[in-house]
Amino acid sequence: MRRTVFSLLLALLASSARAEHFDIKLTVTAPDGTSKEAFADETPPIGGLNPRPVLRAKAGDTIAFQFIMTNVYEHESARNAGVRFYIVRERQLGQKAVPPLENLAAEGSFTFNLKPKAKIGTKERVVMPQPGMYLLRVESQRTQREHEHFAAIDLEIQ
Amino acid sequence: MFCVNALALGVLLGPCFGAGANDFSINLKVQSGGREQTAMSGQSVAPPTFTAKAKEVVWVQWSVTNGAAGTALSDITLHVFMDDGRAAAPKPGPKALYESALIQDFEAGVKSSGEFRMPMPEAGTYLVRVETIGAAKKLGKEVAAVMQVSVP
Repeated sequence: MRRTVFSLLLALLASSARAEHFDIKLTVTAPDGTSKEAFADETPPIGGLNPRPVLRAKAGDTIAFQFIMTNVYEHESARNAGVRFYIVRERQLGQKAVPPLENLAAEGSFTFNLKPKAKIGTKERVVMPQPGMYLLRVESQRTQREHEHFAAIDLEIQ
Repeated sequence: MFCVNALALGVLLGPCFGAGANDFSINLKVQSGGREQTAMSGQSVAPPTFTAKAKEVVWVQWSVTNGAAGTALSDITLHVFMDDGRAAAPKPGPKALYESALIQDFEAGVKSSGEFRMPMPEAGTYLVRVETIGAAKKLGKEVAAVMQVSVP
């Protein structure tokens, strides 16, 4: 009985620690139809809590990615909040640190007043010109909360 | 299969785009290789054209400002896309290079902005369009800024 209560408490704490401010669904699709999905993670810790899925494609392939972010807070707003997304080369798949944002394969951002329940969606098609390992990441910025949220997928271009 | 349904952009609502939106404005700029071109909402002439090279990275920026004193607009969708310019209708096809939608409120004086960079994939004529969906309820018209990107 005591063990059951302890397990329940642990589960509640864990779910509280993972309470999200943003729902994020990030999807990337290769030309052969292979698709990977990632969902909201948070930092700290560096690199987040979730392992990143890996999409494999070939140099010269056009990949398509899409994300939808939803502010799940019902009452809080944030002025000049932001969302940023990018594809950047990384040293190895799954590396925790975000590489320097140089020579990006694609990037974009938004600056806006975030309203409760707001949604932001983007889809883009990008030609991956060179082999290598890449990080595809979308992240919230300036939300005036204790941490920001992101979703990320690794790309292995052969 | 790349699914576009999830975006639920609402672009099939058939917005009517008018010119001369003096108080709610959209500014669109495309840059590459030290060159730039701008387009403003309300321009009644043909869209300006920016010329880029294949594989050249273009930088597309836009800003949207509600300068209408006392007019607060709520639940405005800012819809942005870049697609093959041969599309007859002012809406993106399933293979658009870029498409985004963002829903926000625009109290008087509020500004919103965005940008993206991408390499132009191949020769052709492309259309970049930034438009509102939902502004007509208060403004009597939707607002849009449009530019062509030509890759010879």
